[in-house]
Amino acid sequence: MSRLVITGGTVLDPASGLNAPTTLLIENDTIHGVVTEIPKGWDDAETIDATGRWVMPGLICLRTHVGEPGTEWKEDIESVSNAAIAGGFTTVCATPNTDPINDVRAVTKQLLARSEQVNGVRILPIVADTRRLAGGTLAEMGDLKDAGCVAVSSGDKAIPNAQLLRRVLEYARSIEIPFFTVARDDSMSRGTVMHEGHVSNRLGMHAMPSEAEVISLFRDATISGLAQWPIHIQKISTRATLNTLRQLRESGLNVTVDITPHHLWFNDEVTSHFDTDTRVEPPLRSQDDVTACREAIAEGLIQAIATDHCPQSSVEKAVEYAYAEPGTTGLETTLAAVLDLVHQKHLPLMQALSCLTVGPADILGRQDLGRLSKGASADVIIVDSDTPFRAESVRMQSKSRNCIFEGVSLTGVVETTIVKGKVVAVS
Amino acid sequence: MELPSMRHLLGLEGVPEKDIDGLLNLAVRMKEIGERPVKKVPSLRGKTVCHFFVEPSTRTRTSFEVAAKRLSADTLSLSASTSALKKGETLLDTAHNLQAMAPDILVLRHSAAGAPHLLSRNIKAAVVNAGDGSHEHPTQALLDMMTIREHLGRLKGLNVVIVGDIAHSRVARSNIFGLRTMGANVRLCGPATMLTPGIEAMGVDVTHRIDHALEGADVVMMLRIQKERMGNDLFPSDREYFQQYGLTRKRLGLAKSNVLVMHPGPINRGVEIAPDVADGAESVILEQVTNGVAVRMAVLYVLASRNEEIE
Amino acid sequence: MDKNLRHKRDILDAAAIGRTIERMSLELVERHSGDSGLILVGIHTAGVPLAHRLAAHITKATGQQVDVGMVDITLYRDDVFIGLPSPIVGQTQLPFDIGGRPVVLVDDVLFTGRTIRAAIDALLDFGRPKCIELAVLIDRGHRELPIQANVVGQMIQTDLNESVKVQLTELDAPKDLVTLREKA
Repeated sequence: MSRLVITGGTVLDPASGLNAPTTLLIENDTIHGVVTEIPKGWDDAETIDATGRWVMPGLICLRTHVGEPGTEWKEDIESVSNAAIAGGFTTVCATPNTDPINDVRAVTKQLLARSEQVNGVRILPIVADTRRLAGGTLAEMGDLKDAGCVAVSSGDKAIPNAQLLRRVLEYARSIEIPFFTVARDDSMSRGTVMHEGHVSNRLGMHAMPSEAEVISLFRDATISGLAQWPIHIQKISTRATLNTLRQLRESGLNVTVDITPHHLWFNDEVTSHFDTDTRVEPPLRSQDDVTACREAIAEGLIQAIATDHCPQSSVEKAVEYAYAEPGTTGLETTLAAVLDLVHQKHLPLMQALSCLTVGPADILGRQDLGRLSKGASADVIIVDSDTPFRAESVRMQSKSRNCIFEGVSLTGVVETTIVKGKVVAVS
Repeated sequence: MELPSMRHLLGLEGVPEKDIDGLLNLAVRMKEIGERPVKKVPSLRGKTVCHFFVEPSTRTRTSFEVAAKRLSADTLSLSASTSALKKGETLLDTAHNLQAMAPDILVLRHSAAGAPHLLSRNIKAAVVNAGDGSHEHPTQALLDMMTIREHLGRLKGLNVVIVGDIAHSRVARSNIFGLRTMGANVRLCGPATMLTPGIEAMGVDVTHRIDHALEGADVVMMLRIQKERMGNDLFPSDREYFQQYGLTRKRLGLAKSNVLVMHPGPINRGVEIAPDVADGAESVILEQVTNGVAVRMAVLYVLASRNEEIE
Repeated sequence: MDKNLRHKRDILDAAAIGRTIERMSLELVERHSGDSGLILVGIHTAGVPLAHRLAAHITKATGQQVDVGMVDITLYRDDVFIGLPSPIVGQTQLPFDIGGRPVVLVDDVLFTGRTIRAAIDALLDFGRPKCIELAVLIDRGHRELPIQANVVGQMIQTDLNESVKVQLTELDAPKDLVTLREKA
């Protein structure tokens, strides 16, 4: 039996609303409790002094590209685990669009085996909705759920047609597995490179209007109602989407959404210099959209912030803007970016932290994650929440340098990462 | 007073009025060289200008080559097929290989917006954008403005109408930036499928009716309709385009009496412009070509001088 | 650049300039008494009004018209791209065939000779004149090339830290004046 006491710091637990100077007790791999006084019998426990620091649940990312199998030069299980440790993420969910795609048991098993071998953070596989993510035959979601997948996802695209979406959702309901997708109408977004607005008018680049996201969200939520199974839309980005989302939820539909940290930070003006680190999907939107998204976090309309950590090498990025692969890394900058937004008073603290902890845990249906309640998995991070942190990709753990926050001054450094009761260090 | 000092010419967005004015004035001086018996000055002797036309073009490339030769520069020409791009070499690798020949100026035409910007950050040469996707084509707008000024004496306050596929036109975009900086009024005309929402924010008027557009116009700029785009979802057919938006003599009568008819070329007779208008007295289309060489000489001269100062 | 120079002394006042130009024009008449088709080409900037004044005097003396042109040598300089900001390129206008005709280049101050070298190159691109001569208002020495003037208004000794300034009313000066200035 091993015991760990974290004392002297401020414990924040968005699930319960706790934000107070207390002591956290960990026994073996679970949370024993939050106390004001260390109880008898715990005097010989290992102690971590967290004076001046925040103690909070380890962060959970619902959307990470782990790079393995298939694109190990960009990232592999070891480097993504190190990046997660450095950024305070104790659980990352791996999108299925690896190579080969995670649509067979063998790929899931490999992911889990590698994760165990690296022994860093918790990596949860997500199964593809259809074989090869091709929008045809359903993938063996049941088998892969048994093998350890925590959700089913359509990868980087929306499901091609409403009928298929209905079938996928109905099947997911039968298996009882959460369904993740993205909202983006293919006909309006194919070949586009940025947001349709004033900036795209000036740059003459092929652009996608907000409506492409809105109509996809509307379709998917409506079918979700028909199939009677909740739907989680990832990476939303516009005010119009949020307006539609509000109405859909008010009408009783069970739709949750997440957003990336860069969509809470940058607007489309930054694309004017054709820096390919700003090429992301969905594209960066207007400042009005950024404002609406920040307000939506406060309102509770957005349940989670997901990094969409998407490593790309110079082969994919040191090219013309339109030819660049979209994506930015995110595991090591997300918490600092969110804390900086809190400092700037653009986001309320507990709502924002909730989006990184209990919010994503609830979407996964995991009561044992994202919170400091008794019996929950002892995934904890200790954070210096005041120290400025300048994002420099050369000093990061990720193998890839495509960081949209490159050179930006953020706030907050993760000092200690604990997974299942054990302190993990970068390997 | 000094000439404009610029490291690259990537576009006209953000280029101040005094720099555009300076380039246009210099272009007038350069034009005179083309009227001499020996059409050459030694100013760029010993300098190398590399023309890299990833997106092919005979007219613009020839114009740039003549400009470079008239300044006594050595020229080097690469296209997508003669470079290793076809074999999968990246644009940056090709550019770095070009560095070995130490070009002073690189003239780039490419189908991807931002390609010249990418090169300007990665190679030592000065970069001239000869057209990047639908983004900008600054030397075309400069020669258009030079032509207008030659005939009408000024740019400020003129009503300039641009007709055609604005959304996909780098010529239109650069002209909008340049003409607005110089104080002209710009009016865009075309079907909504060829205009993007919110384009008024660039300081222009928009109309879908050609007769509204032409009323009181000092300059009419007809854009080339690309055949590849016809019959798709942008516009039903050539015939309908000419019917709805073609510049005919009758429609031209709505403009001012000394109106200029311009076109970046090549012309699609009977699609965007009636043949008799293309060849008519108001047309300055051929002069645009002559002015193209002069403007490009001015740009090369200014960039060559700036390049030396940096070193 | 002007800011670093201060006035040292006057060299020629308006009256003296007038007399000098008249005398120069008579020298030219003498040198070219057997020639027809004399062309005066003023070098931008001050050489241009000087060329016009000389031409007027020559016409008055001989009753013959003299063609006057102007040449800007900026594009022919050997120091175009070094250090200094690029100057504006002025107008070149030679609307006649110079082939086989005597040409006199006219400039205000002859110094290193590089401007004249550039002007000769420019002229030769326009044709093959019978001969090229040089007339200058002031010769201040310090040649860096083997160039000489055929007709000189006034020769003066100068130091390298000094500068000669020629002001003419055609160029918006209040009166004609030649001054010597030195670096402060």
